[in-house]
Amino acid sequence: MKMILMDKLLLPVLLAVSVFAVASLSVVSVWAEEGDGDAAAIFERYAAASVKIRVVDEASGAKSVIGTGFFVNGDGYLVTNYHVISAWVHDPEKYRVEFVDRDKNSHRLQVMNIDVVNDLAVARVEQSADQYLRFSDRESLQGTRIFSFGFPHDYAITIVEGTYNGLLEHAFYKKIHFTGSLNPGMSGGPAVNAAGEVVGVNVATSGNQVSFLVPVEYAHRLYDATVAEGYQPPESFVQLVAQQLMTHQQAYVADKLFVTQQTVEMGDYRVPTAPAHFFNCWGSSSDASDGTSRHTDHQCSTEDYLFISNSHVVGSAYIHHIFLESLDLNDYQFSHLYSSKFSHTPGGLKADADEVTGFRCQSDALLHNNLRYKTALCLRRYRKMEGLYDAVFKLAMLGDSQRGMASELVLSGVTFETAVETSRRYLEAFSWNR
Amino acid sequence: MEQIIFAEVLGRNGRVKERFRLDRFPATIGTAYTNDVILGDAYVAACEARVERNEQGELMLVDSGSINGIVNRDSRRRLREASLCSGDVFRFGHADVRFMFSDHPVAEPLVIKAGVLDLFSLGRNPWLLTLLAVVIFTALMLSGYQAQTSGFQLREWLMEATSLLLGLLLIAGLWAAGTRLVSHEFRFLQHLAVLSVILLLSDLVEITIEHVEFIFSPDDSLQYATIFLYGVVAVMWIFMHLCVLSRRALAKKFMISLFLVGSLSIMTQLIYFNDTDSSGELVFASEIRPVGPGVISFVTFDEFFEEAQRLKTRLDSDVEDE
Repeated sequence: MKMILMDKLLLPVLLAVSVFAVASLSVVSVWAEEGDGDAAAIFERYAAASVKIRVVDEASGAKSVIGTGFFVNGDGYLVTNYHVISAWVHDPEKYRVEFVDRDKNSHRLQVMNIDVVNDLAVARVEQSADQYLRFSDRESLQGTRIFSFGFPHDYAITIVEGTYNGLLEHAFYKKIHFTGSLNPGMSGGPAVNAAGEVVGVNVATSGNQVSFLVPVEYAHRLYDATVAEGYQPPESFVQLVAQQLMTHQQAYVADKLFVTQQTVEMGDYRVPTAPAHFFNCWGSSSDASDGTSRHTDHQCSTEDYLFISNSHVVGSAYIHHIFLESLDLNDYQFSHLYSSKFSHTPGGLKADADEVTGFRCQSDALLHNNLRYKTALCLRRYRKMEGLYDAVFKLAMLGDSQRGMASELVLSGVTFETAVETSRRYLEAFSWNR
Repeated sequence: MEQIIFAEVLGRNGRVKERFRLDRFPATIGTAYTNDVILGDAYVAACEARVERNEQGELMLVDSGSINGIVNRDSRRRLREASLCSGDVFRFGHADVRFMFSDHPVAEPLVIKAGVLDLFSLGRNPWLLTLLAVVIFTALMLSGYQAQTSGFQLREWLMEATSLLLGLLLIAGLWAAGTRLVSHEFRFLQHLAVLSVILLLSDLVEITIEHVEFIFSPDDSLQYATIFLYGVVAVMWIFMHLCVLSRRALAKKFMISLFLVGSLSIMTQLIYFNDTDSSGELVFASEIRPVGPGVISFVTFDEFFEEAQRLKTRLDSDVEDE
């Protein structure tokens, strides 16, 4: 069950891709004000505003990531995904960012601003752009046909026709559900309506025509902030990432999780569920294959994972309860089983050793609201971002040698204070049901 | 009849390296090949000393004009001549030479005790072989029991037992190969017995600790007890293998075992705690204490998170240290 859920969580695949083939790009474009909705016509009018973005490894001189971007004004400002240029953000000495024009000439891009939470970036080239797209300020209706541009797998510019299917239900940050096939390499490309206005930015897919776009309002906001008078790009983009994560964890975890207590009955206990409206909950129950024990699972997770780098994904939060009953185990065997459920390492916290420290844990017996627990708190710190941690708070009910409730709260990219406060609210929600 | 004496050249550990029979006097000692006792030592003269009878017929050790003279090892006195008694040890250069008279009494021979602990006769004793089989079987049973989190499952137990058995055979084989190199004997059964006994012991330690944890849900002090007990088992393990390997002094083998276990544990620490991913897993597995129903003292939420502040400080200093 756990694995299935983790698959669900990590299923959306970001669309940037490392490739080595060089694809040809030749686009003939004509600027037009209004379209008639025909894909061929849309392509002809608006394709030229989209360009291939690549992140080039300085040492080898070859590209290591490709994606798509689109011009949004005549002064050479373009929008793409943060994850397309994230390699440069983390190692500006090692990489350079450039775009390839229609004549296959590459031009160096200067990254101006990023929005790691919505996976967007604004970059600029020191030349004017003859073709650019406008941001839409109209609400799209479900079922509206929209057209996405990009360079799938480093092939030539491609148009994908699909349907606007509203916003994702279980997401804190709005994401458009686009029914159309986005493929790696199309990240950062624009999705336009029949009038050629950008309604979203290609960002991810989970296959079978289920794809996701970042709503245009976020791109518009980032662009406005970037072109505002007096704006200067930060010296360290990694610090900007850290600041944005800090703001994110406050808005997402500290201000939202377990604020209104929703609980559900599980065995002998009432336990917290759906920590916030953007959580999606799943459950299952099964007997062990030899009929000696019964497990009931309840877990809630979010889909707002944030891509920080290839080796580091944060933002997800989840809770997981297991109610465990012995059917035919002696006390010692049950304890063994219960302990193994309590002490397993949670999955879904993706980070390499150079991004985070190892986990450090403490465990103790805790008495709270007349319930006796075994609790453990495990923390690991982000090496490059001071003040941010991944936190795992675990608890197991004590007092019965044949039944037990093991539960965990997993938070990523939060401050220590947020971890403590959220754990406190989480613990408050448990109560005895008999 | 002329008395016969033996000059025994002693090694560093006190054992006899060479033995010279002296039956004609004067007998000469030195590095030259004309001597009766030939010493291969750069600090000894060609003709260092001689053994001869004095006028009273006593055997004397007389310096033959050497630079260093004759030194009695026990009294450390430098002499020109000394009377010889059976068992006297003299130092020539860096070599110790013991003089033994042929009528020197010898000790009663020791009895070879055939028993459970005499691993060396294992292959010839059917009872010991049966005992070994029982030990192996019990160890495998206990290990299978340890791995269970549900009712007894024959298939799983067989898999666990087979892999353990193969491991035992492999490690015993490696040790036996080592024995073959050192002492020209292939003591496979003996090493297998050592491994089985140790496996049994560590299973017992593990089960005992788990039961204690289950009943009392104790704090971290039990962790140290566990580490200590496993340390003892590990030292015993290496010590017993070394006993099979050679018949050197016990104290020395014990020291070698301590040294090996110490360095292995330091290496393990370095490997596990330097690698973030492994340590992450490891810490999860070891620092979270199991769940038991026993009587324990409880902390409040605030106390728990006050303690957690230290965790945060440790992590922060981990990063700063790098």
